[in-house]
Amino acid sequence: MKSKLTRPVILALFILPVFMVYSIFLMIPLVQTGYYSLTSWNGISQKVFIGFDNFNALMKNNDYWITFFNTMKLTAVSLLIQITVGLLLAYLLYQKTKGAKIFRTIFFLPVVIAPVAIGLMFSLFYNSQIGIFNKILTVLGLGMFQTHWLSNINTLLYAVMAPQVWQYIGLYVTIFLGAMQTIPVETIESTQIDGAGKTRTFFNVVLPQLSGFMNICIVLCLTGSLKAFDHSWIMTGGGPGVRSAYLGVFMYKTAFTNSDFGLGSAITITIVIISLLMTGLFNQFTAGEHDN
Amino acid sequence: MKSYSGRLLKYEMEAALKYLLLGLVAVIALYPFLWVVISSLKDNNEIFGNSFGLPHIVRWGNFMEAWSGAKVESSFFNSIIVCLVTVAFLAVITSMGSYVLTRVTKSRILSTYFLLGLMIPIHALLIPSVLIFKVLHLQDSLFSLVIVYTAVNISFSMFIMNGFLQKIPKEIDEAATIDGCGTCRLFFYILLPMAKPGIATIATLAFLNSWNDLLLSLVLISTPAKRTLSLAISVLKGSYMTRYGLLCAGFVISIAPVVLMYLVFQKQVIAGMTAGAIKS
Repeated sequence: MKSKLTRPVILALFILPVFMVYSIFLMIPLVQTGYYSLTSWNGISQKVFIGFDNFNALMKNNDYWITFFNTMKLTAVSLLIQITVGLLLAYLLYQKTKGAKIFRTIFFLPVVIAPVAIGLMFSLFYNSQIGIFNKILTVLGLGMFQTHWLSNINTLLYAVMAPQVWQYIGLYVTIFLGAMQTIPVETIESTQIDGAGKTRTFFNVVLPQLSGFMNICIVLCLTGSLKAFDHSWIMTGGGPGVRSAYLGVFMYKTAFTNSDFGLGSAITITIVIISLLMTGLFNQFTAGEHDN
Repeated sequence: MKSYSGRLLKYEMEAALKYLLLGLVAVIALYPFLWVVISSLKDNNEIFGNSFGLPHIVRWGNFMEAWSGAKVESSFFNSIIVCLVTVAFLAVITSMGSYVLTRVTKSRILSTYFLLGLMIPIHALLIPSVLIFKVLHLQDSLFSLVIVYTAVNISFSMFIMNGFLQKIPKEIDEAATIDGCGTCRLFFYILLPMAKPGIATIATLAFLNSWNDLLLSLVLISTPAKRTLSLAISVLKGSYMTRYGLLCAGFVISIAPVVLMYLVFQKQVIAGMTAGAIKS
């Protein structure tokens, strides 16, 4: 039996399973979503082709813009906090630090835990009955800042963002630390012999060497924020209304709560386009920088 | 001498400040979990009245009750089964495909095709997946989760496996073939064992991704008995609205396997989660 299978047949059998699963359950669905976005469809009735009407409707949809700007705020906050804190902590660990590995292990721990569990944990912390945030504020003598974090309209969105931003800082610490360890030790040492302090070494030597990794981290940060769903979903369900929802949550609600598959697909396509545009623009921008 | 000791003092102050800062961040990263673990052994009275202290009466009962209630037990095993089958299936098919891509054809089009998936947000799959599995009569089935989880993990797994297989010298293939070793034996008995670290990396990462997923199971699973742990957690809040000890116990049960895995396979976990960034 075995000898009857010639090598080309065996090779085809090797690549076929992965190719089929990948194509049928990942690539074709993407194309289908693109097509559905041009139809009016509730999942049961006949699909009616309506061109770009869904997209026009979205542009006039108030909820879409609220969730769009929520997503942009999350992107901005993530970039600002995760990248800077990640860099700072990585540089601190990079200095001959005792227990650097233990610190890294601790910082990375939240990264591996399910976002839904983290969301649940933070909703306990925000809870007005047992909420430890308010209790900690009291202990610190900042009792006047106590509030119902998830119902106060001023704190709501930031309270939902916080666990997500907090959770993934360790990822950036680890990437930046790994990147710093690829810089030749001699480069650093020779700068320090020349009398440069740690701050100057960081800005003049370390940071420029990290530019490639920086790009990757920024892209990770962008795509991570555009995909955001779990934290918002578990903590507030995106509510009240869509006040604390991101595009991903709005898409889910539109498609699966309101059964509007056409509009839901259109939202998805805008997420894909925004993420491609942002990473594309960003790469263009940095490529231009390198040419100079 | 004075300036020397002055500099030493400055150096020591700097070091102290650094450890203080790192320690503070470590507390911020770790304490939330610690608080939940401690609270999982308290009843409501103690959580209200004694928020930060250790429990006066240790309530192990919370864990029994959380485990048997709210479908945590069944969803725990559902998650284990789905994740293990996904990892096994994924590891076999991607390493086989990667063998062809790295050692036989080196087709750039195919390699790029397999990388495209890295850019697709999961949201793009939700609606079509529901429909496809309806057509296949696999709606509300754990098997549908295995297939989708495999599909979404293929891109990065291919990327990592390709890296590992490329590092194995081609001479090994030639020597084995001359010795009369067929393609299947060469792959399964010689190359695969050599690529073990690669498989360990994709297995840990795919396990974590599947274990932590909420969105796909939210749309593909509807029967409570078939819930994965993430789904069970998302309804826990509703079931134990006012029994915070139980809620915390459920939380601890749900994160325990992942934390354990992280502590044991830390190297693979970190390598996997940062592989995309460090290698490209």
